[in-house]
Amino acid sequence: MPVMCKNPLMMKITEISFTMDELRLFLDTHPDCVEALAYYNDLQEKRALAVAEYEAQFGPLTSYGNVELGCGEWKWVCGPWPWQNY
Amino acid sequence: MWSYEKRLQYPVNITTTNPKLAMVIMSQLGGPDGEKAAAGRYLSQRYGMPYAEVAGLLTDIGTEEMAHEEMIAAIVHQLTRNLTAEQIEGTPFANYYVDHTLGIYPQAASGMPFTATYFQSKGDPLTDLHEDLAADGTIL
Repeated sequence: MPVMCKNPLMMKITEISFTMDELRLFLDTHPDCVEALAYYNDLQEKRALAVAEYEAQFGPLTSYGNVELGCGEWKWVCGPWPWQNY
Repeated sequence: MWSYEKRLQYPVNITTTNPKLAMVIMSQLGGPDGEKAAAGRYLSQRYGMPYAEVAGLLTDIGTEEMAHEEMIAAIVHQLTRNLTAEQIEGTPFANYYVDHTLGIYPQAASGMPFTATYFQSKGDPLTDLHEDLAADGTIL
């Protein structure tokens, strides 16, 4: 498979998140599964690091945090929206 | 409450427009087995689900279906972006263009607009889960 995201950091976030999306559904009905919980926690830490690095360089992924109001600019609407990935 | 992440669940990078293909793919957004129907189905049915684990599952699946809506809409958008009326004339996308130009509107490939009659919510967990299997089970 070719690399699908132009941005390697976004590719990393996408891959980690996709795994977490599947794990979440498993955990909903297997909330006591120690192995799945440990896997989810591990991915959560990796994701937090990747998201922090991405947001520092390219702007916020969510509008709750990291919108950099301090610099006098509402960064949420800067840069392309996800469907404009071209 | 939902919170939005400024990214697609899976990347969509289409470089070549294709209005004929867009006309087919849009059914996965607003058609009878589309993502909008799936999101509406799971997020409506969860209120009748007495088991916390399954109510959570319906919430999380319904949420993911909304992310699928966004991906399909992105595909249709990128397949048709910047097309002129001349480029669309004579393609199956022409009738859609009459009503929506290059806007994204949830409808089936047949032209049928999205309707909540595509799904059910009966307040009975087993009935609803059977409906989920019929609707989504074959295309998992």
